[in-house]
Amino acid sequence: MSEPKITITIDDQEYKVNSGQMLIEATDQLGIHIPRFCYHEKLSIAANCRMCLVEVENSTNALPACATEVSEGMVVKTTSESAELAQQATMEFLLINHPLDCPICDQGGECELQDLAYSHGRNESRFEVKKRTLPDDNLGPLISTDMTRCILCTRCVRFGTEIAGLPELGTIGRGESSTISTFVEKTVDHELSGNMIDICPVGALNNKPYRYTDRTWELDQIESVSPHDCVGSNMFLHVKGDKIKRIVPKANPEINEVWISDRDRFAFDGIYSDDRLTVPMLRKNGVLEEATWEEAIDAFSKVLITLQNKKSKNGVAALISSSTALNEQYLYAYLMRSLGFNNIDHRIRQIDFTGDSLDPIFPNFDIKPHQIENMKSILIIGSDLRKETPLIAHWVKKAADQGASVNFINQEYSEYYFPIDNFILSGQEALAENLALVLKASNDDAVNKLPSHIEDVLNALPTPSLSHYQIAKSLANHEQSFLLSGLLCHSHSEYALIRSYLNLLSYVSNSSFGELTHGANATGAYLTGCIPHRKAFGESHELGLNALEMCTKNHQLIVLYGIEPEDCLYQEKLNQSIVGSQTTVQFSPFITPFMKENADIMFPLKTPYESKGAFINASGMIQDFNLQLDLAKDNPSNQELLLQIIEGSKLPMPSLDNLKEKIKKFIDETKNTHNRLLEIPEKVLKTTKNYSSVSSHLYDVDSITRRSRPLQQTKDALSQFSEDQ
Amino acid sequence: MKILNIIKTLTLIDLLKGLKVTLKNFFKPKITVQYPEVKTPISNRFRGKLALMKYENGEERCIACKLCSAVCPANAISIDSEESEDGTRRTTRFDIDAFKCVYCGFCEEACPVDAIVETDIFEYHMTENHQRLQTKEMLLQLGDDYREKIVRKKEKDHHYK
Ligand code: SF4
Ligand code: SF4
Ligand code: SF4
Ligand code: FES
Repeated sequence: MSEPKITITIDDQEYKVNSGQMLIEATDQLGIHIPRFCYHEKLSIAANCRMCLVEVENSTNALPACATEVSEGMVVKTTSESAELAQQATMEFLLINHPLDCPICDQGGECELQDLAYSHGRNESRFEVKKRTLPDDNLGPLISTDMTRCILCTRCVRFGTEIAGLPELGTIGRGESSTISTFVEKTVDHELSGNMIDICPVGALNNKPYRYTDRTWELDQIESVSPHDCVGSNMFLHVKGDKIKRIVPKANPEINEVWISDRDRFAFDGIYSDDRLTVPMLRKNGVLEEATWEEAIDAFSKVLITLQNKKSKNGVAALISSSTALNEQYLYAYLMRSLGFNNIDHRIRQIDFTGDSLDPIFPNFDIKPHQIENMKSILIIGSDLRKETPLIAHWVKKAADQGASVNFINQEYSEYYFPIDNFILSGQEALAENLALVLKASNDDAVNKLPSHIEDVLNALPTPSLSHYQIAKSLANHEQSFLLSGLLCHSHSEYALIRSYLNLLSYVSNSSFGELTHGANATGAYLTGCIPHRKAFGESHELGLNALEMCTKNHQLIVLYGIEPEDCLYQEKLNQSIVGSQTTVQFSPFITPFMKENADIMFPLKTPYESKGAFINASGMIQDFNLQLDLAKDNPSNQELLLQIIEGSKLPMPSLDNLKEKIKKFIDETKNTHNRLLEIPEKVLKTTKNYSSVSSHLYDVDSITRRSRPLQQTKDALSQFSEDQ
Repeated sequence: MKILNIIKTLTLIDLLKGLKVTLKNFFKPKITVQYPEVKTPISNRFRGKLALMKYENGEERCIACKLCSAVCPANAISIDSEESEDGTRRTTRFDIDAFKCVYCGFCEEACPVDAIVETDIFEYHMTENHQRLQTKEMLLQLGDDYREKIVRKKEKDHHYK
């Protein structure tokens, strides 16, 4: 769909550019810089700052490059006298009311206004009247404001309306007295709102926790991947010495565009929590005491070897977090499997395991996040999407804004800020049935027919309602259709059934299918064998106990890797099992009072912010991170620690060479052969206890987020707290 | 030529010429002083030990903009900062490493609020390694102690800036 090319002349040089775009887009692509404030590539055009004025032949006035469409034969001068004069005049007007704050302004050093004042500003002000000052709003714990610095570019306002969908800020008043403000005293609470800090070209909106601490030139920038959800947003850590000071997005058009969620931006604060564990602990004579690494590793290896010799396979429970790096998961699974212990699992937020035998090699997600934007019909099941994966919600919003029909089957209603066609509010117990009804409605006039035994099941169901039919029709009518299952499905008591229905529906309606997963690396956990029914690379294996079974039993040894009982959906059960088990070993970056009481050996872990490894996001994209920051530099890395334990347990050393490449190859090979399973699980679990209403909250997803002070002060976290009471 | 040289050598003429210069200087007024009993006058722009200044009301001048540490060619200044209780930007640590400082005066030049200044103190010593770090407290103290002298010195020089 390439646009026709036209010829324009910029600064005496001819270029062929695509027609239909604004001049500034063309110059940006050509690498010609035109100053600007209000223009932002991801936002609509406001053309209110007038900084981008350039001279265009045959036009009496200078024209704004951001709002002037290129046309054949256009002759543009970006640095001619009249262009420069226009820019200088704009700059003078902008600086009339701007404070001389640069030395105390956190934007100093990375400020677009500062840079342009340097190149286009006058040395002295001709303005002798008092400057305008404005009161600052309190926008909550994440964003600080210094409204006097605002140049009214309205980027933040447009961000609110166009990206977040929630106009939290607006322009009030006119002329000299216009200001940016929340309409009524209110905080800014959208889970993407931190991005306003980046798009504000001046220091009016800034990072509150970072306020007044460091200057940009003191910071080093390191690439990283978010460890808090299955999207794998790319980000930059800004560090000074060994300490993370702030996090900003790294553009990745396939995953997170140019945004990151507030969780990705502010959660890192948790790693500086007071309850960080930095030395290994060992229980001696009933008291948990500090120990040397050798002692702790020795003690653990001894327990492992003894249990191996006793052949008490079922006496060992090994849980691991789905947010640990690939290499760690691989080594952990290797350690347990090689010793003959099969009870290993990462699915501590799942209760229905009846579909294990139907499990795909790794959770399905047919498309990359950015492809959601092109979908014409989307059905979302069991997901508090905005809270679970703010960036997937962002892509869905983009699709919806472009006219896609978005439908929900969900157990609670939350605000989405995009048009929703059908919202089937279904009780938790009816979630699967509602999905089945859509399937039934789809099956009526589908090309791909279902096997008869499944049709029988569907026929036994009541008649679908109008909404079911509408959803079915929308999925069938659009080639680009997508089914998305959320984290609530994962924790649902009929997860297996729901997943099967989804598979069937995607087959019948010819839609792509995606499953959100808990943690940053659940796909990795499946591929490295951190599940009871398969070894690494999907090899089938003797069945072990699943997470729920492990938590409901007492063991001779229970090992928690990167997990705190709080992470577990059935925390109570896990707590009991820890108390009742003979030996409890925890690998964790933090130490809680409960674990202090009950753990026998504790190994300090490095958080993903301090270690090296890779995450596989829900779409199967492997992304590396290599961060060597640390609070306790001399501690071995997680990988070294696991290798030492493997050595201590007298096992042959595994090879980690090319692990990432092998997995990548494996993903590519299996992904294409993913067949839709046309089966439904035989036995259906009906539990009385309603676990899945305990959805994981936005800022309670892992041990780091839970300890992040700025996030815990947000409305989202506080309201969750009051709910729990 | 030979004869002329011989006469010169015998009459010691060159030596006497040299001694004449010595003699002249012998009676000239002296410019050397008996340091440390006597001290030379010091220019208003002399660059000695650094100090941090306060406003008349006792409020710290420094706003933790870190421009001094950015401009310092010797990397002698380390600053940490945060938002203080009254919402202003303040340093929590301000260390100058006296061993690194080359007394170039760039920091004073860069400071937007005239907080860091160079005094004319150049006589100091230390016996322990760690004493080379001049902390915020020491720098502020120095500024307090020599306040008048520093102000006088800066006032005299300010016409030339
Ligand atoms: S916004 Fe930019 S120009 Fe304005 S005070 Fe801050 S750094 Fe200086
Ligand atoms: S607060 Fe920043 S982004 Fe918003 S209008 Fe003002 S300058 Fe623009
Ligand atoms: S005088 Fe020069 S070397 Fe010494 S601290 Fe200031 S800038 Fe650095
Ligand atoms: S960038 Fe063109 S008017 Fe603001």
